[in-house]
Amino acid sequence: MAIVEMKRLTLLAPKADREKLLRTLQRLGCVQVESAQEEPAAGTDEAELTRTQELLQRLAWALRKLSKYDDAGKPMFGAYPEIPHEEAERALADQARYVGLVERLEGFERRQGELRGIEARSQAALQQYTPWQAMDEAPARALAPTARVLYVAGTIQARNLQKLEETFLQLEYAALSVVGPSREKLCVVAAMHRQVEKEAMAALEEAGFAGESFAALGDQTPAQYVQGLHTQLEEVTRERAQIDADTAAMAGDIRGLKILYEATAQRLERQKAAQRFAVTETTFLLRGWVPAPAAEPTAERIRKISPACAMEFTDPTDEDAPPIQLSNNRFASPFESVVEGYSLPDYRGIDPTAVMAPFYACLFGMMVSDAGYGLIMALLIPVFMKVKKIKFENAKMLYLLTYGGIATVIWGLVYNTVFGFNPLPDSLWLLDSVNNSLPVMAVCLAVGALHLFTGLGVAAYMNFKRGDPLAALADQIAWFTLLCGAGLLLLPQTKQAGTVVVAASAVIILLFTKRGERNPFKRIFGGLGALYGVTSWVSDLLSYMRLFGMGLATGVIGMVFNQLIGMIWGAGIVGKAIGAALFVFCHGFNLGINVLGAYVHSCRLQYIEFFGKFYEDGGRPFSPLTSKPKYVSIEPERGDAA
Amino acid sequence: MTIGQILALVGAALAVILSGMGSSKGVGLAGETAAGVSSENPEVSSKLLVLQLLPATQGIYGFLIGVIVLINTNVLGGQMRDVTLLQGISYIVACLPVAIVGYYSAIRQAKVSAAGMLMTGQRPEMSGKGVTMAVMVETYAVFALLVSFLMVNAIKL
Repeated sequence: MAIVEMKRLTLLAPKADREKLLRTLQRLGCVQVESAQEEPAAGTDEAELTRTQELLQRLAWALRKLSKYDDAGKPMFGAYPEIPHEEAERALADQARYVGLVERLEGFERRQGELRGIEARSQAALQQYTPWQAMDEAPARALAPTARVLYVAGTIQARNLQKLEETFLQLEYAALSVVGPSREKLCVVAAMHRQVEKEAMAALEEAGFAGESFAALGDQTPAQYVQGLHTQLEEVTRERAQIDADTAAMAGDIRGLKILYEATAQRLERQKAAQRFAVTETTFLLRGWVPAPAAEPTAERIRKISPACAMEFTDPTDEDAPPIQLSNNRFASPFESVVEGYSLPDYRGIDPTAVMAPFYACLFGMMVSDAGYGLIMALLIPVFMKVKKIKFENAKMLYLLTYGGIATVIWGLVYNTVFGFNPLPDSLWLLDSVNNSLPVMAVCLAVGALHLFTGLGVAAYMNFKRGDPLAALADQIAWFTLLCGAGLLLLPQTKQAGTVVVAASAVIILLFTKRGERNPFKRIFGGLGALYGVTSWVSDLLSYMRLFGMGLATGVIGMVFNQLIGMIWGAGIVGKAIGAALFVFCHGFNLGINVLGAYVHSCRLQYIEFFGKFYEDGGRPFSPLTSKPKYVSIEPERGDAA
Repeated sequence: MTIGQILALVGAALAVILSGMGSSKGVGLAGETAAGVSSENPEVSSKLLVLQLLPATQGIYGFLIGVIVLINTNVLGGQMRDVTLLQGISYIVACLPVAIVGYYSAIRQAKVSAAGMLMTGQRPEMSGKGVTMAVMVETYAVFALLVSFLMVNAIKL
């Protein structure tokens, strides 16, 4: 029900035991290794760490590549497939083969890149030379110049053909032959006597002539070359299919790769922890944090593995900032995620989870406020967890929603809303937000006031615990009485009593808020500033009106859906079928959007309104040396569990 | 159909149109950012969905007020009640808070959401804070919804 007490562990052990100790600590998962020296341990460890990191990255890459052939599906909520230890050992013994697989995959990747290049080049060449296919001789021979005649081949703008032909006709010693069209251009071969070379070339240039290079063809005719390109492209397609087939054939090794990945990831964690050790020639020094309840069992295990070690557990000193682990009972612990979403408490502060949990569920229920939706959540989520075999520690969010669902059932009945209908008789109606909203708003503000006062109460408790009752009086109790007195002012019968209470509380706040201040003026001004804080109380309280707004939104949207569906319900069997499908879909949508809204708004009310009254945050999370699986979890060795 | 009836419908239309415009703009903006951040850091994409959905609620609030106007004037019942000119104007006034605040706050909230997404992309553990920041903006949309609702319900035909 609180923040777990931490012990500082200092362990000096022979280097020979290091690997075994690290493995054991990783399995226990209850030691957070801190840096035992300023600089990380230099030497061969660094290179080893980089190698492990690199291997891990390559394995992750290979698994990503193979993921589309993986039929195991993604593990949800920590329900990882368990791998028996023997199988893991076998996979590890086979490491070289798996690394070979990764290398092969990397080779495939490189080849795919080359194939893409070949394909692009072939496509471009195909486009370039296909129009020249009508040329039945190899260009190298056909265009070779003779003593008197020059040949040029290239493209001209199609629209200039006629003019060019006329010019050539006039030149007499020049001839033009059209090979074929190439998009909006024409492929032409021109022959000219050297006498008229200048004029012919000028005419060609005027027609937009661009010479073609046939160097790539060698002795082949264009048709032969194009044929070759087609063959090459077919070859590329065939090789791709082969690569795909070869990759698909590796599907059977995915499991092994996953095991190897997990083992490598675990090794990386160990190596990272080892980096924080201080080392000598023969020994190493580990400094870290252990939760106090786990200290004795951990010490026993360490002694068994490394009898020669020296070990010491000490309490944290005032300068230390131990990491934070929250521990709560089964009801409250799902709500730890809400606290973690804000910030962990200070080690010397208080864990707000247990106080917050019932309020969270209550606020959540008020905002979803439909008994039908609540029932769905409270029933379906536990069934889902049973079927999927999801463990409690991994699915706290689902438990939070289940508890929220239970609260929703209660509030849904109070609001008389079940799937947007109002099934309870009028005489039982407790709250009706549509037709009589004032009492509902009053209830919302009352819940808010209770919530805020609870926050004040926690702050007062902390002040008392620290032995500072004056702070509790001026900062919390006086405020409590001031606000209660203000409430009394509203009713005529209690107005007089209210005035007295408000005045007395205000004086206490005025005089004692700045307790440390000697200067009377500064002290009074500080008190006045504090009194001005009454406005923040008004805004805090009004913030709880969102409970009404969100609850109203759920109910009315559900009602509107029902009215719309009711319109087609009468239209025979088809209408009923469509109506039923719409009912499920519409209410599913309403449920989803409102659960999301209720979740975030409940969080906000906790973070801003509630935590603002007392919470001291700033802790860092306890992150022990452990193994966090990504694909599969490997069972520990049998003999080791003892 | 009388002028009053038409004004009442204009009010409902304003509530739905303006808040819907704001929300579509907001969700769109947030979605673009979500896509960008996801391409850099695919692991956080599910956390971004919550942030993207936050500006969607304003449109729902506007829709809600619009439908309540339609219910109260019995448009959904098929036979629209008589609405005087003054009542029609009242309906427009009553719809304005959710229409205007809905439009404005959806876009503002989307900007905070988008910033929260960028933060989540860099530091995934901060996603809860990003959501809280965006929810701050939502408060005013909720208030506008409340006041619009109270005003619409106060118009007795």
